[in-house]
Amino acid sequence: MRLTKKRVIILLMAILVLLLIWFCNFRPKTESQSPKQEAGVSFSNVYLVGNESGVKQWELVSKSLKQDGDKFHLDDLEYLLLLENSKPKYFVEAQKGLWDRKAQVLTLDNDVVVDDHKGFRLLTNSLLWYTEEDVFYFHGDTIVTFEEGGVANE
Amino acid sequence: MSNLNRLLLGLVVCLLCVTGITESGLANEQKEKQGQLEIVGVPAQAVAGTYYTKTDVFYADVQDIEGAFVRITYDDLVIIGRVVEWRRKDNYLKVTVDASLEQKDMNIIADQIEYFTEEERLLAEGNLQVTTEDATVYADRMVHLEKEEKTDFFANVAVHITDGKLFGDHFVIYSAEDRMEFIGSFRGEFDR
Repeated sequence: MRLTKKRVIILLMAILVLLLIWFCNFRPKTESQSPKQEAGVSFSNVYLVGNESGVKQWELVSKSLKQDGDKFHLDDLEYLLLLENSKPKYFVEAQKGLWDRKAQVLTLDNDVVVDDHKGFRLLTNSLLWYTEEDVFYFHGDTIVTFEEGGVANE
Repeated sequence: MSNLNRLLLGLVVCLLCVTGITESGLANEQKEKQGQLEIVGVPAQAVAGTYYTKTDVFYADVQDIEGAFVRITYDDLVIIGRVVEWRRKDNYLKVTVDASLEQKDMNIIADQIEYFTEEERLLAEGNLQVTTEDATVYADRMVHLEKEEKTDFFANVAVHITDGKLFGDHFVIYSAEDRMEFIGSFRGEFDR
């Protein structure tokens, strides 16, 4: 078979198309070499409020909030305030927190303090607040100091 | 010093005394009773207890954690146990599982110890053993009234004293008067 000019051009074009297909499908991935993007959105100076039937039940203030799906990382938590009948009831402090919006659970870690400013003060290392059940679960060694009658006469 | 001056001086002294008494009385009334509850020996990741924020009910249950316990210090009382229920609104405390209480003149071991902090009323029952300076008392249950300094023991009461044992159904200790008595019939066994 003689290689005519026309055949050479067709052959070169076919090779070029094959190269193009290979390049598109099998080229080395370069994503891992680029800096990894963190998922979610970050906010600073956050003020969150939880309402029930239009009545404020709690408020949370944090210097930073990082969203990761349904989870919110609160690395610089200032305070959490629980209210009853629109009045402050428990002031909660911790160094960091993780708010799971789907499970409605706030996990607080590192020197957690619950204080009612009436003589009741709970200190623990880790505390889970199940917001729908209105209950704290505390972990590890825990100390509570109290004064008699702190809530009885309200 | 004239009579008038003496009268005035007397009045001033009386006023100072009255003021002092009133202030000290107020100070005593306003004195808050403080306490502390410690949960000890719980690993960092293990649940030590729960606190219901609406009802102000506190639970601690460390009975499945080896070596862990709850210690409540309140005035001169020290109560220890492994399960604690504390209803703050009712000023009520219940301690179970390896429950014990230490006070200046009385030690209690029981299955369950309940304390009404405002009334200063203490109830204990189940495998009850109470040790005082003068006797060791066993009974089904007891009621201790701190303000009245009176302790009643009920049902299957056995009092072990230095030289004998006394048995009855109702035994009372009057701490202030340093007196003990059985209500109703009782039986005694004495060592020779």
